[in-house]
Amino acid sequence: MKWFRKLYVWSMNIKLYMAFYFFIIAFAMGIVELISGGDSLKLLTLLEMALACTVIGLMQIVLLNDSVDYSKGIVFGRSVAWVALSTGATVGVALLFGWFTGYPAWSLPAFAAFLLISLTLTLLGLKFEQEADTVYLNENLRKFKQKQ
Amino acid sequence: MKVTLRREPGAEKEIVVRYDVMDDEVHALLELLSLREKRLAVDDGGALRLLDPPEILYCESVDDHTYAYTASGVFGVGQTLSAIAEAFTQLGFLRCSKSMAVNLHAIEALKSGDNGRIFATLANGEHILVSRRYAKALRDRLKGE
Repeated sequence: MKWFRKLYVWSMNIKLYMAFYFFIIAFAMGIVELISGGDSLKLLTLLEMALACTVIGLMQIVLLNDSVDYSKGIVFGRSVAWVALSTGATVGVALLFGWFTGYPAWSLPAFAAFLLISLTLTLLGLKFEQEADTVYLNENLRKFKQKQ
Repeated sequence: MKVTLRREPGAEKEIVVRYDVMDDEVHALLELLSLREKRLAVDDGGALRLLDPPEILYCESVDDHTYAYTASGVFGVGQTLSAIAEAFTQLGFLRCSKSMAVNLHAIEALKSGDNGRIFATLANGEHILVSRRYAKALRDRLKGE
């Protein structure tokens, strides 16, 4: 039961990121579908996307843990590994479950490129968020010291 | 221990502790009094020393023992971490993890970490981590809530 609780709490902690990645993947797939003349995605494909998002979230926890400092930039060993492995894993899931079967040849590379850019922009967002929060924290610390 | 209270009109309030040997009982009494006086009684190489809170960077609990860290050294403390954090709250002490209470005035800079955690750089250059569980309390405290 203890492992289940841990897994549950972990899932709750990454749920926002997973939802974000799900949106990115579903959006990319939706665009490919629209360009190819379709207008729907299978429920099973959506579930497979959720699986890919779990993998991305898991790798984020492992590679981009709490000690990550984005103040020096977003390009460093673990961030590059996360973007590359997440893109690779999602493309792997797409190939495994045949998401792009019957679609034009360009759709899979385009999907991978879109995912690569989106994940890189996610890192940039995390950097901006961390920097803004750091400024806010230090401003509050300065005010606290002045008041006391 | 014998306790004597003597009322003397016009006299200054004074506590005199008479002892033969500085044993645990006397130590405990002095630690209790030091908290009342908002100073922390620490063991300085066998001798009792009273630290002013601004001297203390942080207190840490290791294997059921509590230690106070200052710029000049580390001292054993008889009080629990909870008691210290509670007694010195108004002086800027805050529990920052399960095993640590930090003096907010000793923090030079803060840095936001992933998943809501906060990294603090102390006056002596040491870095400590404020866990997610206690990060909210730190944020609230700094905002004056």
